[in-house]
Amino acid sequence: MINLNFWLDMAIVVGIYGILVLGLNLHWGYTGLLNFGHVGFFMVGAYASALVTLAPQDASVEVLFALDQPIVLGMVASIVFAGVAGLLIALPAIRLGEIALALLTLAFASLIHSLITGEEWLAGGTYGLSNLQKPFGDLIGTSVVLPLPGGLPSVYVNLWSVVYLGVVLGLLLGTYVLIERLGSSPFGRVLKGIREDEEVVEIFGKRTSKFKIYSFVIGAGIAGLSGSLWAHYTGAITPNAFLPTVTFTAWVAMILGGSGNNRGVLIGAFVLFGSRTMTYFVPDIPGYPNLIPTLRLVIIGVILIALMQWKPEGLFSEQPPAHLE
Amino acid sequence: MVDANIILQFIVNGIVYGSIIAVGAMALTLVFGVLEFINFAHGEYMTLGAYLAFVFNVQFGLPIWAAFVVTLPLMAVFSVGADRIVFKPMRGDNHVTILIASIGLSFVLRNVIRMVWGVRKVGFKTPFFSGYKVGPVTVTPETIAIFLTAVAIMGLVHYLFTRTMIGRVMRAISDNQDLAAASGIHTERIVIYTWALGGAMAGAAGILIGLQNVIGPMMGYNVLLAIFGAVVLGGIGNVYGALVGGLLIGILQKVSVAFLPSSYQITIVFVVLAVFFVYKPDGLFRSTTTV
Amino acid sequence: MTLLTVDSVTKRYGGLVAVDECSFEIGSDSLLGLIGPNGAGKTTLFNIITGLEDVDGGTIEIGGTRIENERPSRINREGIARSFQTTREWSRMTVMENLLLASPDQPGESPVLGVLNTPSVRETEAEKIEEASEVLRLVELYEKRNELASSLSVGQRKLLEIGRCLMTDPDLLLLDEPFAGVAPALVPVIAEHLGTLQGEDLSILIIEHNIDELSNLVEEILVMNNGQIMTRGAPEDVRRDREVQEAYLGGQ
Repeated sequence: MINLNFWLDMAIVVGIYGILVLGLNLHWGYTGLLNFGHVGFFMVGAYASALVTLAPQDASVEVLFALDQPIVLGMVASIVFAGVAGLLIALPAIRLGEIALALLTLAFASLIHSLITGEEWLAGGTYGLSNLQKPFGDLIGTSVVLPLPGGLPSVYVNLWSVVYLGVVLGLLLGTYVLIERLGSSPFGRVLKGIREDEEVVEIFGKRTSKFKIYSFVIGAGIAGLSGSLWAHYTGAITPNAFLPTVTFTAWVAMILGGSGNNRGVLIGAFVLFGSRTMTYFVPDIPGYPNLIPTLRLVIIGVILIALMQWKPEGLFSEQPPAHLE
Repeated sequence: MVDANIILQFIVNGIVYGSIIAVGAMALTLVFGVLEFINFAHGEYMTLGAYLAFVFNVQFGLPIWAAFVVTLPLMAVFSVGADRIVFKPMRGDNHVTILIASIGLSFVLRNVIRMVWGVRKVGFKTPFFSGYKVGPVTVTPETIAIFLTAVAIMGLVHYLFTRTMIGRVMRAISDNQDLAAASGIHTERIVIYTWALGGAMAGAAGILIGLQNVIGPMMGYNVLLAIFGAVVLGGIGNVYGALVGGLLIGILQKVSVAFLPSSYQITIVFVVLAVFFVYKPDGLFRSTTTV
Repeated sequence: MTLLTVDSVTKRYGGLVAVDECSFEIGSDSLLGLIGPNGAGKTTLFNIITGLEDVDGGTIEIGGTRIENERPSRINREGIARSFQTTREWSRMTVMENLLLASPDQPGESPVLGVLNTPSVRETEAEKIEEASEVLRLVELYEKRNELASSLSVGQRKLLEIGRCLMTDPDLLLLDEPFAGVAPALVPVIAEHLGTLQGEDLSILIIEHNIDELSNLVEEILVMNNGQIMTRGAPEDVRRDREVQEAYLGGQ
């Protein structure tokens, strides 16, 4: 019997991060916006969904609110809260240029993190929130053995993981379709024009700040959704899961796959986040417990440098919309 | 509410810490001024400097000042070498592409450091002196040494910029890219000297942090954001501005601890910076480039 | 009938006066050239008219509407389009996308309608593609419509910029050195296109240094020097004008 649960878990994680990176791709790949605080939207979404769905009796820490709502509402809340956060940043920052946006997004992510960590009455501080609802909770712990045809060994899976993976993949597909359609529409065309030469877009009659704000808010909302998926997958969240490394890994995944190309971006996410999970397979070298994970990051760094030197557009280049061919 | 003496102590701490940030920021802004990109691996240059000095100090047994002196030229060489391999092939490329390459470099350096020296924190071996009071404020010989070293480095840079040919050219380029480009002074030699000086200064800043605190693989990265803040505050590309910016950021951070939980330290820097940037995008002083 | 009126427009940069109480008029259905030594203020004038820069004094009117100091997007809607000395096409988009992006009144530019791809969005898109195809055939870039703009030659990019301008159905077309950097074989092609364009409720003002090519093309040339229009007239007259010759020899 083969235990597939490890692969299921990896697929779920990759799927969730894939959604996160798709949101970033809208910001940078399509619109050229420098967002260095993407983890902040991830965090807002996760905590919003957690607080909306938490039952007061399950909260072992002090929280601002615990509404005990169904998970679907939690997901909606995650998108809305993250989107609003995106709006609050975009409104002042959009007019001010690259560096201002980069700084403000960095500030935002840092501020959200400090607020939640420091203000323990908000959402549990460093202890975080636990006992979060998981969808289809009755399925947890149910394992299924699937016999395979043709003499292959049967596989053994956690039913809950299979179902959750279905949810994640469904939402990933939905996000992918959303961004593809946005990107190939006239709206997406304006975004790309802004990326290439914003002033000329303005000269041709389009108010670019409006478009940049839309792009920023939508991408933030998508990141919020991925946060919600994370919260209900792990069942417990602490501020430690929302550090700047998440932002930078997302950037690497996006650049690696080819910013502007959604499929490429997902492949980048798979390579990056998948390889992290894969390193669990490689046996540790005795005496050097941290060698494999750090080596992986060294390799990623080298690949990134090489890519920037030889193929800065990433592994996959952007494709023009199909309906124009 | 809060004891004035405590505030004074924090201010003094802030000045010492700020002088280290200033050295780091001056190095970063110098590289930016001459080469026109932000080196995201700058934090790791600082970390590397600290670890190299650690090797000389703890493993080879050199006194800390000797380790310091020996490490600086090594960092200069390293910095030039890193440029050869990573940045030189990208001269003239889009500045964001180079920025991302520097992010890659930071990944590599930070994790190689982890591989070689492990993840546990270490420290320098320095003779122990207890602190003594100057008025209401307590200082230790270490903090004094740190501060004086930082000031000495600033003085050296000032000397270079005003009295030596290379220094004056570096400063001219940093001050005015268009002029420099037009007169074609952008020779490889200037680039090499810039990296050498910037790398040495980053290494020095790293050692100073290690002296004030502990040495760990994330130490440079942890102060990188404060250094960015100082660079922006002083006007990007403006080395003297970075000096002042560093001191201000240092004081701001340390004094904030008197009023807010310590976890807000870097956030305070950011929020102040972000708000400041909205009203004064050129920094306190003239920024030498528009971005 | 007067189309554009520039009245005493002044622009200063610190102590330097780039445009100095400059005044002139352009009628509808005209094809004019604008020449002058380097630093005379020609491109600055274009920037001002199209809203990229503000004036320090004076007014500009098109079709009776005041446009000085207005936003570029607004000025574009009043019927002015321009090309650039160094082309500013949207490089990583295709030729067709470049033209489509330039076109106004697209319901698909709303994110909601764009995602839903409603019938009106699809209809408009089809119409615009038709329009763009016509324009591309006009400037002989139709074959390249699915190529990235960055893959075009300089001359082709100049044509692309002209095509892009035409998508806004302008009344006034400002072209900044459309022949500069273009392969010599392509120059008469561009000139011919410009000639045919002008017949249809469209005035064109061309900055050019290639006075020969310009003289064959335009009906009148304005000469700018030191921020002012110093003279205007038929090409032969302007070329023979002593003051104009001195301006070119003297003002480098």
